[in-house]
Amino acid sequence: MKRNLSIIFVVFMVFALVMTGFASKGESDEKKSVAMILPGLKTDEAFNQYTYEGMLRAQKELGIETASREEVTQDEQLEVIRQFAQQGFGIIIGQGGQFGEALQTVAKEFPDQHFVFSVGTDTGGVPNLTAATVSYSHAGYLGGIMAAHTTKRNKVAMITGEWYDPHRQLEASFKAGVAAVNKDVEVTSVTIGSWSDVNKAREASLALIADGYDVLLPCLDAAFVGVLAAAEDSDNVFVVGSVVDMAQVAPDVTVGSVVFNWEELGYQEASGKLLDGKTHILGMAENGITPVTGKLLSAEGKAAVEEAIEALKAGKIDVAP
Amino acid sequence: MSLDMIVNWMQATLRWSVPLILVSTGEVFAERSGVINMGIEGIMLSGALCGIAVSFFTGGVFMAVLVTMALGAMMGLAVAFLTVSRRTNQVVTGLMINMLAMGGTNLLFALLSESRRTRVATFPVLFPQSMHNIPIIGPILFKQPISTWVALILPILSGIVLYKTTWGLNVRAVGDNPQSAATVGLSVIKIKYQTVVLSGIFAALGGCVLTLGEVGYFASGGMTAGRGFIVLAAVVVGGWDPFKTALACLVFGAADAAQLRFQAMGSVIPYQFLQMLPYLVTVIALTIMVEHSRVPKTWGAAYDRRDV
Repeated sequence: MKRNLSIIFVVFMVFALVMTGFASKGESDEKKSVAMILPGLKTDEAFNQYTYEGMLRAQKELGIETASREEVTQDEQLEVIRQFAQQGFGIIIGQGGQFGEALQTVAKEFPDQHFVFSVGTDTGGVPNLTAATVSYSHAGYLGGIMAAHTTKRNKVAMITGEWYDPHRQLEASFKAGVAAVNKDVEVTSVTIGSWSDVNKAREASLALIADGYDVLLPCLDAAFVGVLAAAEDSDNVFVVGSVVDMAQVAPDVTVGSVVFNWEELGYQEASGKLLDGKTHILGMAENGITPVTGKLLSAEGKAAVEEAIEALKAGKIDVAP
Repeated sequence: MSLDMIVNWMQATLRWSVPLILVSTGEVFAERSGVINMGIEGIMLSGALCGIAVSFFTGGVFMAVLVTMALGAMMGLAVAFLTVSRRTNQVVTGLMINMLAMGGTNLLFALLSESRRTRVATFPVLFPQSMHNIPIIGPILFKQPISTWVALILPILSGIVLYKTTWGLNVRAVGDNPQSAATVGLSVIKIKYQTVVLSGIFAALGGCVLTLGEVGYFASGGMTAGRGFIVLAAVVVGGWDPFKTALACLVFGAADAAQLRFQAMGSVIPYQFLQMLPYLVTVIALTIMVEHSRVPKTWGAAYDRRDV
């Protein structure tokens, strides 16, 4: 019994050492240390990985110290953020819309440190909390231009997982972009209730295609490949990608993509450029969105996209930031 | 509503239901013998990735099916060992398998990053092109991949096995009264092992059809999205009968295919309600069917041969 107890004690001590050790930070200047909290894996070839890589670029270029924690669940949020704050990190970034409330709570407890609510817009008026995201509106508008120049049957559709504020914004500006090219094009949207259900994404796409829609814009996580599969299996159906460059997966059906520049977002957050307690939305002018077009888009369409990019940069187009 | 749309909707219903029917076939046998294999969601997910991975590396769909079945058998064996031999709680064991599969597939798929960008070979279509154009039944039946035909024949076959063979009778006896079954000389443990391994094989196969049926892609983050749990509900709705369970899967598929079409048409009904529709149908069916169905007597209970 005694031996068991001592083994448990040793295991506990080792565990405690590891827990405190893996994110400990030196005695350096507070402003120059950054901690990033990720909801998923930093190898997911998506949002988690790219924002993390942005922070690593800042580390390399600016010589800051960094730490991170992956796969932080809803119930761990407060604990993890608080832990980083207690260790004295100058900037603590919560990566993802689900961190809003936890960041507000901890930011009030540690008023001398900076907190960044990433992929969010609401700071709750806490002075040391800054919100930053990429512009879903600019992405939607450019996607709309591409889609309207591609459709032959004047029917285009958006497929998403669930309606959150950014997706509503993307939808509104997608409609605005389509209408800017051709007012007669019908726009609809379908939610599949999941971000990773490939089969359902494909089913939703096939339902739209059967209804005559010939250009699809997926705004999904991993499930977007289902939309690509549906387009590949149908005749004369094309995809305008969002979030990632979908031509990398399906070059035969992707006319272009509005790529979210997560790496740039992570870089700007970690470099300490944005710490003013306001909300920053990185649009075309701030390098938050990178539109890419392929050979399937007509020359006319490409010219329209270029024109729209310039207009967005100059702030001449009436969509949400 | 035109004929084309109805045909299209029926095609979608079949595509949706086929993986569910395959998974439910095995689950009916496991539950008939008294064991609820709650791990089918995770086994399905593992089967989905296994199918993609083997098809990606070997290019052979047949090979992919064989390897997936072997994986399913192994996972089924693990569930059987825990729930039958070790008498662990069947719900907890299932959830553990599901969590393990979720983390495991995410990790393994991250290592297979090449296959993310490649659409792998999928199941062949049995019938020649000329038969696809037969009105109505052409697109609904003859254009479907081989897996659809397997799923349509399977409930009939498993009905025969369950009700007309000695082994089927043994399975039912073990689920209803294992003590009596043991008294007449049946090996209760062995039969439970057999059915649970069977449920593992079919769950993996169902997952494999999910990715290799027509899609040809895998996605991390749990692409089965609760289909295993829908099957668990379908088995109860179907009253532990292979044929009625398959019917329940078809109804669910039809409801989901319909709601996506309503959304596409821009219906005035809020999308949340439409998304809920298939589940609502399931709940209503459950409430109605529970009256008429007969639960296996030792459903979900552990069997200990020392109990009298």
